[in-house]
Amino acid sequence: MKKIFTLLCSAVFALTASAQVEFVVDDKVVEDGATITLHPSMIELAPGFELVDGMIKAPYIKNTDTEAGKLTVKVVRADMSHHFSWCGITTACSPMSGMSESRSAVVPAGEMVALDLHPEFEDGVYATYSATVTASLGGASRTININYVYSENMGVEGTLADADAVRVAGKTLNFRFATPGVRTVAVYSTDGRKVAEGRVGDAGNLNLSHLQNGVYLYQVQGGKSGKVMLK
Amino acid sequence: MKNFFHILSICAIALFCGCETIDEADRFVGPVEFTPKKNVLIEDFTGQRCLNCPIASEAVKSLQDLYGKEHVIAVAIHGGSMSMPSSNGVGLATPTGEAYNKHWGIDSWPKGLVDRNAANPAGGATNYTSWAAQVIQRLVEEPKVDIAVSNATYDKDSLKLNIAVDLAAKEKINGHVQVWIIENNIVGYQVMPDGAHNMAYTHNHVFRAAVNGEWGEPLTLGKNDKTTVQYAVDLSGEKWVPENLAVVAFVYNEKEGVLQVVEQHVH
Repeated sequence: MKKIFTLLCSAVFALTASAQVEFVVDDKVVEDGATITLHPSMIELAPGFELVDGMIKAPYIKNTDTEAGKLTVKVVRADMSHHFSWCGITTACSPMSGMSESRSAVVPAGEMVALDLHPEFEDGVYATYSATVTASLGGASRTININYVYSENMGVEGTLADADAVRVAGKTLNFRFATPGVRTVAVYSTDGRKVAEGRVGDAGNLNLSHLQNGVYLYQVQGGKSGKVMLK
Repeated sequence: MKNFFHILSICAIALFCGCETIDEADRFVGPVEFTPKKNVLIEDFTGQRCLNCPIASEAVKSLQDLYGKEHVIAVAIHGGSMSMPSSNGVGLATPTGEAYNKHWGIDSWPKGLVDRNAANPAGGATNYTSWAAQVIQRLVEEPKVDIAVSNATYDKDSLKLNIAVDLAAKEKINGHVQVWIIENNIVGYQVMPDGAHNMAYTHNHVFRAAVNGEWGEPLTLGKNDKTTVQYAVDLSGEKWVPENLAVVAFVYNEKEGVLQVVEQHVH
């Protein structure tokens, strides 16, 4: 009887331990219970029109099990005044109307899905919107806390939190690309003039110390573009 | 154990013997082809801040490539929570588009109506993954009314768009006739499925205006009756590109959805 009980317990443990889910940001696993900070990107849609748009796909949620499984993700916002739209897990984008919302989808083994939770900041109104996100798959679950920060100093700690990342430190653009190679990066002023250009490797910097404080647009050749504020 | 394998073998033999032999000429070899009998309207509720919406646009394009643009007529309606107002310089939302979103209870994007829900009366607007089946279902229906946009010309002197729509009932019709203006080839902002901000996305069949009221005009025709409705739309205050405009005209009622729809490029 004791042997049967031990075998049963081992089987149950094996079943629950094999169902694994984890949060991933910049190819790194985020520890259960950790807090991460993300920043939105600023977009100039037309001269004089800027939009703070939190189109951040990360964190990604990975099914680390050997089989496909039903992933359930629950988002609980810290306050009703923290406005979010959610486009991830399912194919629908919608504003969050309640304090919490859950979505489910079947995720193949080893695959990741983006959380795609977007803070709906008001342009020029600096704020931090927070949410607690719990991902459950099989018998396992992980929870992290996310602070989405929109500040005047956006870009100083800025991370786009995608596979290719750009960070501003003072007047230096730090690039990190997921795939190897050398890329040309051009920087433009808001009136469209090219003010800087350089070639950066997988993890490279572009020195912009000769530029005045202000907002600039960077363009990675054949890749991302974005806006940064130099201070 | 030996008996078990014997039984298993017998079952396997029985299973294979149970298959029918199908003549080569009767075997399924691919999608069933058919000739569309009526045109179908897809109202694609979308938004420039909706990163899944370009996928729905691709689904529409696939259906148009498969069955013909003249048979699958799409209108992209901006005006929900994931859309952008025109006041920001690049937004495509309109007050009428907002009204349509509210009327149909659109609370997530992308969502769509096929022939005003005729194929899915109780289901409401649906995910783009459902549109293909609904479109096929409606393409094979017999149209109850013939529609032709006999005039869609832009007068550069008066800045007016002159529209004439001819209607010929094949059966008794009770419903509304709706005339819309849409615009193609609008290059502007769209967030993409990978989260990228695409400043040069080409928006097509974008709803611009309802010519004859938000819900159209009442229409009652007896069998074989004909009528023509005409409009002159002042475009002087609009930033639309006349060469990219098209007129979409359709007849619908609440019970049967869209009875027929046509699209005509503006000349």
